[in-house]
Amino acid sequence: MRFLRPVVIFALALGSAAITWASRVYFDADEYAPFVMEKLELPLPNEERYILILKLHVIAAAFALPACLLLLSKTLMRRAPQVHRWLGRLTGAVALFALAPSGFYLSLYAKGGRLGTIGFMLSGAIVVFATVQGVRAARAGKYVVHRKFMFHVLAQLAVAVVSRAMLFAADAAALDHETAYLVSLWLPVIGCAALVEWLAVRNLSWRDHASLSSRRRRSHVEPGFGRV
Amino acid sequence: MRHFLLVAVVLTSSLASAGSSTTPSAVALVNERLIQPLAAKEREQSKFSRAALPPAARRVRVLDEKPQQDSAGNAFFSFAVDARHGWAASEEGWKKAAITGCVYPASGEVFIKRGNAFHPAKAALGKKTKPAPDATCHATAQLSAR
Repeated sequence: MRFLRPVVIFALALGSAAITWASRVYFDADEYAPFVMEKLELPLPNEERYILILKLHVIAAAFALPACLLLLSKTLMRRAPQVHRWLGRLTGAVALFALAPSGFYLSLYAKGGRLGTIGFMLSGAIVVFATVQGVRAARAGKYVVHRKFMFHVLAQLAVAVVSRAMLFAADAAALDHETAYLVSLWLPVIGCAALVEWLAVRNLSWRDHASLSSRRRRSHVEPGFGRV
Repeated sequence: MRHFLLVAVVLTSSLASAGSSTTPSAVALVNERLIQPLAAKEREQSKFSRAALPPAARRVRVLDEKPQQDSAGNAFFSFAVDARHGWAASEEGWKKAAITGCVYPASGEVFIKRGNAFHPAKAALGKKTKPAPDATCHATAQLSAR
């Protein structure tokens, strides 16, 4: 299970880089990106505002996901805890004041109608709630709780990568785009949140088991015999 | 492979339509002004996007047997472009009329429908365009076959 960690981090870093690279098209003043062209069919009530907020969302996401991956680094935590703290504060601020609010606005025009809107709003709400709880836990010195909530934030940011990969697979299988879009949104949003909870419970029970075993071992220590 | 398939289907479509006396130039124009530039543009498009991915193939259907005439007296044909996604090549895989529009054989202009308006074909490539005049692609009379 432990070997999966670098694989997942590498895949997310690669996915984040691919999304950022593909997002250059949003900053071309002469052209609409294919994603924006789809929105023009709606039509949008305020095209300029939508594109401006989309750009803000793209920049915030391009920073937040790699930053979250960097914040996982145990080396950074051990060798430069101040950098971890400041990068965490900055990432939290970006998530709370740029990424989530822009995401909420964009979700109003999401593909898939209300289900699409609710899916993106749920993901944004998890990010906001988990960021606030994670910061509170860190300030209270509850690092296990802090870690769990920060994993929730990372998991929801990872939805961007997972859902795009799912959309690619769905297109190859010629599935209906709108249905595939909703499935590739809801499945990762719920799945990632459930995975983090499962890992938290698993780690907690493992810790309980370990501390119980440790206490049992300590109780078997007898003078002159060491641990049994 | 996808683009080889795309070109193959477009060519097949053009040849299939060549039996009709009125549509070959219209189909060829739509291919030249819309389908080919669109395919070239889509080759550069990222596959890692929330936008719908480009289709594996497209085919052009001219909807009018005879040209129609707009209020300015210009003859045009309406067309629809079907698109197919995925690897399966069955008929059910085709999405009908993924793009609709009209083509003016005399001037060579191609327009696509977006919302309630018609735009020049380059709008399909993402270029910022203004809607065509109201008369564009709206028939006032159907002309006899030339």
